[in-house]
Amino acid sequence: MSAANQLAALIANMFATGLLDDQFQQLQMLQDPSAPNFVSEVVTLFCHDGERIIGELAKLLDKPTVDFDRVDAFVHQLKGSSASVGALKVKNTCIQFREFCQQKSKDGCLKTLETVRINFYELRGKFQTMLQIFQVGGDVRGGHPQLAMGPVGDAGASDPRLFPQEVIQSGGIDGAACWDDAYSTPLSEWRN
Amino acid sequence: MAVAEARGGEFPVGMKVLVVDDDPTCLLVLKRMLLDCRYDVTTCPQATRALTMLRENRRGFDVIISDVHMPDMDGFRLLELVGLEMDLPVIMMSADSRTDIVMKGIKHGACDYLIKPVRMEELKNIWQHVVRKKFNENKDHEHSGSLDDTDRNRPTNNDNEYASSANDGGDGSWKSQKKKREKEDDETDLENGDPSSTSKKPRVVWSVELHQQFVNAVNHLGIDKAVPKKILELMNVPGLTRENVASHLQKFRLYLKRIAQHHAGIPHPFVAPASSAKVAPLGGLEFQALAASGQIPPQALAALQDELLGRPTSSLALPGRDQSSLRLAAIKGNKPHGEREIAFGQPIYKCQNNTYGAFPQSSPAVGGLPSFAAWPNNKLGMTDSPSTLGNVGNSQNSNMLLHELQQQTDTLLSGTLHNIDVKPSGVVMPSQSLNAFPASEGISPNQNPLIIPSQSPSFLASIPPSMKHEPLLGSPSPSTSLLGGLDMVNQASTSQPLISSHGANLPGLMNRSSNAMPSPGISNFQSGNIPYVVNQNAIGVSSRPPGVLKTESTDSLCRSYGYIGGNTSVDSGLLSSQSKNPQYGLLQSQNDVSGSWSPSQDFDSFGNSLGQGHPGSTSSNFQSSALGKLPDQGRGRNYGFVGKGTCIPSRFAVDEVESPTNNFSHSIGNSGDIVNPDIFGFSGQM
Repeated sequence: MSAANQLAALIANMFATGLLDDQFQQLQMLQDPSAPNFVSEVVTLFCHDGERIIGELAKLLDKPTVDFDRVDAFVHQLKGSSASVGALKVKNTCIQFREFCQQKSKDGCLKTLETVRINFYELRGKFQTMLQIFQVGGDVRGGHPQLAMGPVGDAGASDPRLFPQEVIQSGGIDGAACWDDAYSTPLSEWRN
Repeated sequence: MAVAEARGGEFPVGMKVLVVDDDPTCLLVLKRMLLDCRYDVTTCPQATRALTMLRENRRGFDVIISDVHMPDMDGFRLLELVGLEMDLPVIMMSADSRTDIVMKGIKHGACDYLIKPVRMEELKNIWQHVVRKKFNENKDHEHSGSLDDTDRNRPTNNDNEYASSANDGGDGSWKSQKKKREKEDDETDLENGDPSSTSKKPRVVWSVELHQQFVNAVNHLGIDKAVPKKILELMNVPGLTRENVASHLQKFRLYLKRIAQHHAGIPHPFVAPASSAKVAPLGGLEFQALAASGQIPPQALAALQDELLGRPTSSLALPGRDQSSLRLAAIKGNKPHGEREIAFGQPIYKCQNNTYGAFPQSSPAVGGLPSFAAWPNNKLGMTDSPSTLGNVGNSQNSNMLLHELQQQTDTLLSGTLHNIDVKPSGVVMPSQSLNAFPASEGISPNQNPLIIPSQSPSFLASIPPSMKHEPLLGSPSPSTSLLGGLDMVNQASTSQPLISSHGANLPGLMNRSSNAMPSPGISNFQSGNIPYVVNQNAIGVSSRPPGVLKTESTDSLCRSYGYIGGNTSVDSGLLSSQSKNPQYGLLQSQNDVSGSWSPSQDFDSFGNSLGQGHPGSTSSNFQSSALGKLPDQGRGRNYGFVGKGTCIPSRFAVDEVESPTNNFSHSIGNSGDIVNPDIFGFSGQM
């Protein structure tokens, strides 16, 4: 399967399973020739930061007396990051987490921390796959039916219908075979 | 985006945004989005550093977007400080959408509150806040002088109210008024011109000295009895209007209140260095005033003291002013502690290095200011949380500072006193607004409130560069963001146009000298179409010699200011070149400040054409009135930035515009007493 296809499929899957939401789509749209690696950067940053926060949370909750204010602050930060990236599941878990913090329930927090960890790592795994595909040439804008339009990366091929042709012309792609009706844009990245 | 396009008049393009958020992911996303909106973005993960940056370069930014929850400083605190010191629009942002938190943000003065994840659509509209703010400020100023009542109803509480109403009341009403104002269609007003305001007065920049005078007056009267009118009389500053005092008093009260609350509640992690004219003075002055008058709310005082004592670091930072004032107070025996005095809620400058570049500068520049360097201010931004800054060091520093302050205070006081007669009021430039968008060049420089047109030496002479320079009364408050060292510095130098400080950050600086750039921010917008903004600067502009202006947008701005008063001839040059600016000020043509310039801008020798500007010219905004179109260098700049040389923020210009170019220049610059900031306003494009 072509990278573009893979990417598109991956991203579509992430949307479908509730890992990602519209915000991610916004990020995809923000990527353009002047910022060709935007999504990769954001995703990478999120993964690092999220991991750091989860580590901090684990440490804080590991203490005999838990400082719930600090825990809440970190959860809030993670919530903000995940919201900015479009990490829906992680964000929702953070919301739950905050409630436990308000209640000062250590057990509740610990349990939710686990859930956050699981969700985060699940998302991170997929993000890492995504990053690999990006490197191979996948188009970050792919994978979402609504993102069909618009030039992607350097492609500037706004017309999805043209895509296959362009792809073929670029010579580096499987050709029309890569194209799925659902994903009209992405391939432009191939050329990169 | 093509420059041409930008010039073409897309007003918000190039607007300078500062984003503060400790979350790197969010910062990156927001940056990208803002860049896509074609704004000029600066990101900063630390609030303290952001505050420092702002203090150093007040005009460098048009709007701030800040997160609420940050480790080194509470977002609300930053909001307050920025509002007080720099009076820039601040937009809060958070993943927290609870109503009470949002309410808190609004009450602290946030122009808007965005919930994360922030979407592009929301960011696309943030320019409205900048414009609105400028517009309102101009209006306020305009009315402040001439029409006491008419305009006052909105923006500032009545003087009487200040005296009697509790802070809360005032606060609330003020805030609600402010919000209301924001919500109302300011734009409409702009377009309609300014019906009531006769002339847009440039914003008064509350330099340290001025603030000190203010505080002294308040102390003398007693915080409860301090009514704007009496304060004004006591201060005896030419060109200062009751409105100016009233609004400043309001802020001061708010500040005091906040300090009290803060102290009563949680100690503020950061004590913003008072430097910023507003903030600082309040902090320090607050005590002083309070102390002096013996009216310090026990709670506040205690809180402050605790804070001060408790936190060695932060408290020390006394905002330059505070310190000096404190010292005075101390000297008077009010406060034994140096610390106490200093501590006021205000930003504490950590003695440690002067982070503020401005600061040191200011002192030298300022005639009187004693080396504030001693003054911690450096930390201005930093002081905030003791933890963050090397508080430890502060204590030492603070002590030193105290000493120095004392010395300085004495010196300053005397020094400042002389200087105080500054025109500041007049001169006060819209400083803030100028930061406005860097129209393409980033001209915004003119932000200096005092737009002392470098060009016209007379001005400079007459107007002490932003009063700011004037040795801060005793208080080294370097941070004074208001003038932020920058002002001072620039002002002192004024004589030269700031030059395109572009750097976006510089903007403030730049203008300083050159012109009182029109009100902040707005002027910078390139707007070609910005109705209001542009012209502000323009007003003063006329003086610019055509040659000068044209050159660079930024430079021109500087220049334009300089001209204000001076050369009519220039105007023509400028104006003529501008001719494009159609109506409003410049928006249209590059330089044209278009902002509000009244449609017919035709300038004839600059002053005249504006004519319509004056009255007709948007006068409402400042913008066009005077300059109608500051012939910007041709660049689309007009935005009104100040820097561009074209228009000076309408604030200033507006009124002046009336008279034919000469008048403008005269009115603006010539008069020497810059009282009308309008003149200075034009930084931008004319």
